[in-house]
Amino acid sequence: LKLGDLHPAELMGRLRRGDLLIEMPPFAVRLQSDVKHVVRDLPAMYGEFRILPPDKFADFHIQVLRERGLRRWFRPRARFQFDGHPAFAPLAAAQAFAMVEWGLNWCVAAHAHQYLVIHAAVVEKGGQAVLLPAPPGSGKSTLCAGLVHRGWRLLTDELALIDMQTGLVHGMARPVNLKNRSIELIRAFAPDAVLTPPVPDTQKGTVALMQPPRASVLRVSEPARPAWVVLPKYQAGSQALLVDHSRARAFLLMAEQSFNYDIHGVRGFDAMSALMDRCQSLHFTYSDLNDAVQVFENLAAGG
Amino acid sequence: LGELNASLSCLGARLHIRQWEECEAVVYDDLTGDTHVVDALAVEILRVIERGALPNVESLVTVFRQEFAEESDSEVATRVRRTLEGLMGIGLVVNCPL
Repeated sequence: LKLGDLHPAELMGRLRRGDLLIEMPPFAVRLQSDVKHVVRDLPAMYGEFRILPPDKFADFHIQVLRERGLRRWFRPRARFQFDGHPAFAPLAAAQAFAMVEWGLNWCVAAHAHQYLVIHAAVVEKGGQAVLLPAPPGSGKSTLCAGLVHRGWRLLTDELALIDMQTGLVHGMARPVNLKNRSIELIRAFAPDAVLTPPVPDTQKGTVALMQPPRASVLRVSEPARPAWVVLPKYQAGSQALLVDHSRARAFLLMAEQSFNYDIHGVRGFDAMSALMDRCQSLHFTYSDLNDAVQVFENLAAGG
Repeated sequence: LGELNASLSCLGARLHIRQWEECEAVVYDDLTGDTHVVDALAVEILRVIERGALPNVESLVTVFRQEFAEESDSEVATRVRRTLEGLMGIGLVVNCPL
């Protein structure tokens, strides 16, 4: 059964009771919420994801619930809870669905230490994956969103999960986080893209989430073999240019962008080394998304 | 720098070095958990020190004099000393009194 197959009333009931268990390989997530924005956006963003019987095991139990008290009538807020405990300061209710996403990212980053977890987007074509690690503002999500609308498979927009035994990378094929200008940019680039209504005035500015492509969700359980580490940099007016980059420098950036590299100690160093052994390291500057996609097409084709 | 009395017991067991076909390498220090990017000369210095204790900086300079045959002795010494200072600054080389 897919989440999108649930009647809206059934979905709302499950969400309120905390009976909604969503399979997001390699994890299962139990979600409880009484916030209308979550009820509204969840089917659009996770409609293709399988739901599991409520009594099955869940890795993460998360709640996004409305704050009580008189204030809720004037300035409604929602709070994220993990295993029944408040995890973050409450935010405006309009940000509730984004809070689900941010909170879920935190759950994975803070707990999934069976993987080397790296803040990176991952897309795949022809069995070869591109890792796009980058600090905020690099254009990583925009590039990722553009590529997955031109035939690349989305593994993740935020969290690359490296299996330290096999070296394969897993993703959860979750929605892509778009911010500020990239929202309009993706709307123009991919008019068919399904986005949540933009939410202004968040800590990250205006945010919207983009529905993951159906084909990517159908293959969500398939890991991919990393072939390239590409450090993207959006630079206004620049040509799309892909150049070799020091593997050592890329290693350090990946370690900095990892949530648990330090926790793994020398095992993390060995896993990252093995990853860099397998990958070509490249630096990519771009300003035009069409040009960027063409460069990646050439890369995948061996050009 | 003064006298460099670095011994294997200070360094050998705790450094993990990975270098690809390029002029830089990553070094993991399992005493601190820190990872550093260093240049090729720094890697060679670390490997020389790992192989055995050196009595002073000059003996280290001597090791590299042949590698940089086209440079003057003072240039080689400056280069090695600077790199060594960098390695000491990030704690990969320590001055251990023997």
